[in-house]
Amino acid sequence: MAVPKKILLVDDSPTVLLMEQLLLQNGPYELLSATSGAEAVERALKERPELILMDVVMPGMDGFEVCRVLRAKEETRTTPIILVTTRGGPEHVEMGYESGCSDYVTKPFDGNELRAKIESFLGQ
Amino acid sequence: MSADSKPDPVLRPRVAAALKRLRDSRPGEALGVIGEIVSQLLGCEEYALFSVEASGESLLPVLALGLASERLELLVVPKGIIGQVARHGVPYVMGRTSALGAAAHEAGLTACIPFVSGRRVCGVLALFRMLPQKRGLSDEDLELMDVLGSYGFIAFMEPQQGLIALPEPATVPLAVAEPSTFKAVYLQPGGVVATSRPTEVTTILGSCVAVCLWDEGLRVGGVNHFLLPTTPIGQPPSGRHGSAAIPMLLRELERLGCQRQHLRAKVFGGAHLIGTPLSGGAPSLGGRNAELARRVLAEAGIAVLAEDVGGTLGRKLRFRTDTGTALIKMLGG
Repeated sequence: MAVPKKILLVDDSPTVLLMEQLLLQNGPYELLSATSGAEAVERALKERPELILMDVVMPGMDGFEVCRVLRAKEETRTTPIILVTTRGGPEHVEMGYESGCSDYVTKPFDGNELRAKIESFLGQ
Repeated sequence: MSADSKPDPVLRPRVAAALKRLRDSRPGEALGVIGEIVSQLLGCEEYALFSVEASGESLLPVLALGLASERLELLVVPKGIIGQVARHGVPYVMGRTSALGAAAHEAGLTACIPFVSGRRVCGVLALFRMLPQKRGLSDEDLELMDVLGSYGFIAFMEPQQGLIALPEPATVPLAVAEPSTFKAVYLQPGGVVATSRPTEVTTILGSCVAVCLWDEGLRVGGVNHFLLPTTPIGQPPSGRHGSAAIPMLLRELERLGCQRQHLRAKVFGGAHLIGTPLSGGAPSLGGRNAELARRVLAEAGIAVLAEDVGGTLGRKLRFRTDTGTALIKMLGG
């Protein structure tokens, strides 16, 4: 059996984290979670997930900043980071790509579509 | 995931998560959970929750986002649709139930959900403006509203602390538009725009692809922005899928008088963004999106005059529908 791929879910909303867990729990994944930007950086560097699904608007360090920090670290320079956010305006999408995200998905998202993107990044 | 958090298998993740969070919420938590469900799972950026006092004769706001205090003051008087929902416990959904009797200050009301405990309506949730990327209400949204209506009463079992005004989302200064003779439009993912009015369409692409089509003689053109090459099983075809989005754009342009033999195309996006597997296995999502665009355009007999696809960076596209001019800004890197 294939080794489950680690996905780090980052959101300050427990409701969103739970929804993402329910969406992905039947896939071949090991799901980790973080509820703040600082925790996301710490867990990403320690656990080396194969993909990060991250909110943008969080207290303290936001998702854009986490993206920039992780892109500057050798360990996470090429880790796929999908930003998942309610901020759908062009300024925000542009900032997302400028910060080095791999993809930008707006909430509320379609579960099948997000799964297809994740599978594509993980080469499944 | 622990075993006890497994969803009812018939429920979709958004609905299952809302149900579990509400059922499990501890005293003092339920209002916050309702706020998360409404803004994050339903996608509403302007709403108010009221407790219903004296069988619907007065309303008390307990949670609000994005509504000015003057507007809230008007809304607490239980008349119009919100008043009817508070008194009779029958939900209102724009376009699905009658808006007869709506009060002037209820303009833009998307839905109003009664929170029912036993036979008593203890609260009403009024949803106004939805997030700009949200297009209409799906059946799943209605299921989420049902969950809120059935379990939201938990919030009213707690002592009320008065109105909780959630912080306003940070506003982004709007770019000052230059005086111009053309219209400017931002195209959301999944959108399709076709117009005979000179328009500059802006969109931002990662692995997504935008197909730009225009007829130089008629000065009519349009763009789409699709996320996946084909429609996933079990979903209806939409502008989010290239196999549907390109025919949709073609149909719209033909409706505006364009003929296929006069249409020209440009294709953008389809990046292999950082983290996309580049070697071995199947081609990346961006690559598959771009390939689908080329294939469908070739089948339609439309010449592709220019394309800028692939690479590892996102792109900001600005396309003029009347002239076919396209400007690309690479993002990041």
